Amino acid sequence: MLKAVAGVALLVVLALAGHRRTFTRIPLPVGARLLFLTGTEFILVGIALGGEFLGILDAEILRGLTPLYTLGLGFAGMVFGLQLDLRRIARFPARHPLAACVQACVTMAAVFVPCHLLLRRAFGDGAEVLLSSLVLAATAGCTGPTALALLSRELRLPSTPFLGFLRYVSGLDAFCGLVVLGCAFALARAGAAPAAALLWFGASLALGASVGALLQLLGRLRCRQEELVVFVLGAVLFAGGAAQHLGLSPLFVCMVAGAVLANLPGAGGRVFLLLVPLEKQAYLVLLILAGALWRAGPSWVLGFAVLYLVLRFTGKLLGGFFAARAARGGVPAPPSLGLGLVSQGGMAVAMIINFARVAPPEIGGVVVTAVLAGVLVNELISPVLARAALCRASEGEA
Amino acid sequence: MRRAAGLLLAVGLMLALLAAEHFAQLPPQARSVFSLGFLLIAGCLAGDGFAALRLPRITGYILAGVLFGPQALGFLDATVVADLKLIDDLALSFIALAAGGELRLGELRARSRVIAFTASCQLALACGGIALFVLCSSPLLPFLDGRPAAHLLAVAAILGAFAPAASPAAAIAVISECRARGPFTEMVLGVTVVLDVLVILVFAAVVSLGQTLIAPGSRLDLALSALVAAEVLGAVLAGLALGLLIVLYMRWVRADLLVFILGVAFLTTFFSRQLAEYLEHALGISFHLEPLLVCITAGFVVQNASRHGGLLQEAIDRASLPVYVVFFALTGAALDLGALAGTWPAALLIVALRVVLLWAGGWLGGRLGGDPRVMRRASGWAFITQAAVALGCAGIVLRRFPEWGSDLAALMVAAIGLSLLIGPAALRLALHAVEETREARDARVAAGR
Repeated sequence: MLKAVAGVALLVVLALAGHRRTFTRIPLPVGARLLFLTGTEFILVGIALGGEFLGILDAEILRGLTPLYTLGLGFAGMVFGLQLDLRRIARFPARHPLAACVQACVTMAAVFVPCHLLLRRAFGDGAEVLLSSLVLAATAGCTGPTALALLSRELRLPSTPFLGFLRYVSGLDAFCGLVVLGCAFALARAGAAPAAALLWFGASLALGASVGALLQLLGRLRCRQEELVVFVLGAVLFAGGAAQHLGLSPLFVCMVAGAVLANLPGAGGRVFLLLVPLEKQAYLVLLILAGALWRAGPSWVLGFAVLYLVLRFTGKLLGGFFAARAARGGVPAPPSLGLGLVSQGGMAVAMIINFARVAPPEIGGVVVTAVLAGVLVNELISPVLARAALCRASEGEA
Repeated sequence: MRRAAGLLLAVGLMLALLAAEHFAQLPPQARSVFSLGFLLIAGCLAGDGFAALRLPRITGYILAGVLFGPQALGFLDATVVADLKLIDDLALSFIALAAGGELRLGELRARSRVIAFTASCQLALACGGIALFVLCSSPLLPFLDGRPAAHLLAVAAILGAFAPAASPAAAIAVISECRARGPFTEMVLGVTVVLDVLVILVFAAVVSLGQTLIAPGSRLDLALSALVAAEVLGAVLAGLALGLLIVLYMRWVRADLLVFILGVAFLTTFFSRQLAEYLEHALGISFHLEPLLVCITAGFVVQNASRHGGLLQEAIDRASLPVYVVFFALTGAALDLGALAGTWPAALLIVALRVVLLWAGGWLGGRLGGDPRVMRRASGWAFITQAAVALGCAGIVLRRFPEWGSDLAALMVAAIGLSLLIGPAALRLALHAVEETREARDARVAAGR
């Protein structure tokens, strides 16, 4: 327990220092600068601190950090869920959410099928293989909206309908990934029995909806800001802890809670404003924790990571193509839309932390390595690809 | 109404989760995590309810802890409470920083006479009065039946030394909730801190004396007293160093002060435990730097040796509510109601007598120190609550006196439990009586006085 305290202190210091050093203007080339701006290098810091190198954040400390994990995952889920305000989503043409979902589903399918076949070959046919394949698919479906936002700021891009569409898709597609994650945990919990899995998925929804309703009720009290902090902290810990206790995904449960809160009248906006200032520090802590969870595996894992990267890239291109078709008529989206959606972002990192807490070490190691490598590489290449997508779109518009 | 509905919904969710206990799968800490979340919500709502009844919020937090803790409804079992002990300790360090930050040297100097008299009178009267009462009412302590008179003497001395212990954490929580300000408030904080330090020293001496008394042929062991004195000195020195560190941070960095303060509270608890463990294992010495004292000193240094006291208070205020809820709700959950059930007649008498003696000590100290009548009358009500230091004393008794230590510790814990329930309300009344709460100040302004 005391080692866990040391771990927390270290994480806090790193997150603070990192917050100061990142998300600001650093004189570097665009690709590297965006990597630093999104803080992705903190995955490497986590790897260095983890059990494979310095051993400061070893397995014992990581176990002791359960409350911090839960808080971080719950926080990420709730912040995302709070953005799922149906009134705001409906302000855009109906084809926008359809395109986002098509893009995410195609990418996830492109990753899921080959990965599942390969993992089945390597680890046999079990619930954990299904869970791993679904988690790989869910992480692949997510797009990081931060890189796109930072790129348009860095290059001072004018606000075009296509850029808005890209931002919309990248902000929403993690929803599909999170639903798949919720299903994956329910399936794993039920030992891959579909009927029982449906019940567990329902339990996730019920738990999230109840906590969302509770927070809405509490948020509507005539209370001070400090009291609202206590209620939000309590609700996130409660929902996240309960989800973990039952073997469900805290990320998904808290997203449901956030979405319920956002769509009921009253407190959603107030809670969102409360959480947003803490987002960057929480994100950095999650990046470091994800890095610390990484374990070296057999050499073929690297090959698997490359395959995951290629499959995701292909999936994004295909997904972008179908999304452009789905959005046809509403937005002038080129078929190469997928190039603008390569960045993977923080939600994939949160998902992988969630997964690593429950997965058996062997298969867990493979999945964590693939996704972390994917996030790092995608953050490096995404600015160049996104710029290409934006150029093609502007040429098309011209 | 909405608060009640919120509490009911939280309770319903918790019941549903506990009913689904056999489905539990994953890390055992997950139960502590959702229990902590529930405690935060339930504690805060209970505090609100008590505030609506014009009672201190912390009484609500404590009662929520008692109600949902292992002794009553069992929403939090003993394992969960033990798991959350570290969070409890961290919260205490944070509260101690806040308490130290409230001690302003200028105002303390102006009130030094009354602080010295009040602390001395309360120490003398509470120690002497309780010890005398125990000596005269041995039938109330069945665990001493058939034992030599020396045992009764030892128990009397121990209970006497324990009686003046006060709780800086409860004091600062009530003061902060009432937004109290003024000479009486400064005196209350000053006396509370002084009493705590004195009780630590006197209690150590009394325990040595007690062990000598009950072990025939043994000689008075002064080593324990010397060690405790060294611990107090060490804690003050560590607090000075920590305070300077905080001042340097505020001068040169200043950013994210709240996170830094929380980190400081974390690390103080951590190093204090690590040092104690290291010295115990490596050198066989039992030496413990009390984080409470270290943090009070650090807060005092920041407030008085720099221009950043206001900034520290501001940062602490922002995080104080969750910390108070967690600390007092966990204190309530950890209370041993079984001990209260077994020893309540003796505990009730001791607490009643203690209240009378503290009141008399406060009155006498105020008179000797030249306080106005209204403050003299209110003074004694301000020091009833006992918490961390008093619980520490009970722990020492449990370890040092294997023959009857557990029975005496149970009695002490029962007395602490009763004091926790009435003390905060009494302090709030006292602050209101001397018109130092914000509510009273506003009323005075409205009345044009």
